[in-house]
Amino acid sequence: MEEKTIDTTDWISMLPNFIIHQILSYLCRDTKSLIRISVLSKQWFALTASFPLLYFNLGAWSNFFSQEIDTFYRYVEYAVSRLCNQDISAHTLDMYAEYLHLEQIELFGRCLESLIKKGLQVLVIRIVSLDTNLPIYHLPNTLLSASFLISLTLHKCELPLSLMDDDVKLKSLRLLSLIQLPIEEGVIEYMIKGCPLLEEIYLRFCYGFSAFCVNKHHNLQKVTIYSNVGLQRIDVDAPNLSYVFFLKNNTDKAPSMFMASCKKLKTFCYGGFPLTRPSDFLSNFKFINDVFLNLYLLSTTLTCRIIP
Amino acid sequence: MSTSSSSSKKIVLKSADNETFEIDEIVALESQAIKNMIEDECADNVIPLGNIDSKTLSKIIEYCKKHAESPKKDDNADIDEKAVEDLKSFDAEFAKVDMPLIQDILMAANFLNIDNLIGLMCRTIADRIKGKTPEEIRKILNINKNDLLSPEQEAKAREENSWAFD
Repeated sequence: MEEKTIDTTDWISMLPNFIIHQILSYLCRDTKSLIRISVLSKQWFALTASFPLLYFNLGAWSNFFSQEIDTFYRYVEYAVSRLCNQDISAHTLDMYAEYLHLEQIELFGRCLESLIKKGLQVLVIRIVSLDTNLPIYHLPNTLLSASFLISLTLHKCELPLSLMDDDVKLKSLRLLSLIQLPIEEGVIEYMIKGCPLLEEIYLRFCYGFSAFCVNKHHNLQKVTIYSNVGLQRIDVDAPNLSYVFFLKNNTDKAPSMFMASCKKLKTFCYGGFPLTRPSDFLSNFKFINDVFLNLYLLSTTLTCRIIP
Repeated sequence: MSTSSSSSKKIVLKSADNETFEIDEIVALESQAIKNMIEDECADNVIPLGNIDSKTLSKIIEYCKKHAESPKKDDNADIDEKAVEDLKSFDAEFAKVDMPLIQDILMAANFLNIDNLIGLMCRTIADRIKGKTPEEIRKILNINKNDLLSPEQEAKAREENSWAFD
């Protein structure tokens, strides 16, 4: 290897760590590059270990050969344990993966618990079984007391078993986003009660509950309910709620809605036909500016905008 | 928002090699550090930048001019997409410089506290080391040979994730 260095100063070592972490943040979804960078020097080894954004995406680096999936989970364990050995808090865990064996989700569950203890702030999980005989991934009970968590997005997994018996103490949570989750009756109401700072809730293709209820919540501003199966009743009491988006599931009847106490509700979007009892429906919106109705008639879409 | 060139207040920046650059105040305000100095009224007519050479400084001024002229995102939610595209292609062209200059710009942008420019330089560095082998990256970044991991440490780290070194 020829020597062609013009300047011998190692300028990177003169930069503050936050700048190097910013460089790493542009590579955080490129696991291969991150690993290669980790062996550059002692400084980079330490900097990559203390990089608090963890993105794991199996699809980006595997053809789903079982050996590769094993390697992937070993890497998840390696990266999480490196971070947990540092004296800093974890920021983001974004896990997008499939699993073939129970051991793999058990390993991931342990990693998640360690990161929650390390003050995890943003959690995104989409973890799906490749074998229909395996159970759906169950989130650990520790999640319910993840007090630093600000944003929680869950796809296709199951909420912690002890949810209804435990206190929910998600005291920093601002965004709760649940997609394709089985949710038992009353769970949403109970969970939201334990999230005093919650500003936004997003539910998409969830099933197993007939009522969406929010009791006296002062920070909730935005609710999106997107095609959830079996929903019959929406009952929200949140004085600062300003935006509601509702798209009805095709096979369900329109749910009854109670939102009249939400005095700051300015925008309401409703999608789906039929809309039953329009007068009852409109009595919810004494203070509203915009109502967007999107009623599906045959194959055409009729959109009307009402400004009372 | 339009920038008038003749009537607005001027700021003079002086580089390490004693070259002076007269620029509109609004351009200088792209730098949070200079902005603070002006607000605290501790900026004289001439601001000396003893650790930035004229080549780097003129590059940075070129960047700040362009960005000061462009409508800011938070000013107006529906600025036309053309302006955004224009700024994007300016940034892409701007970053087409050799590594030593990128280093100098990044160090200076850090000193002057110009967030967007730090981001642009970091992204450029990330793009240049992406997909490269550790040996190639060491050259690109001019990594100090005295700071290398011990052969055992490096071998261990490579072995744990050998798939990444194929």
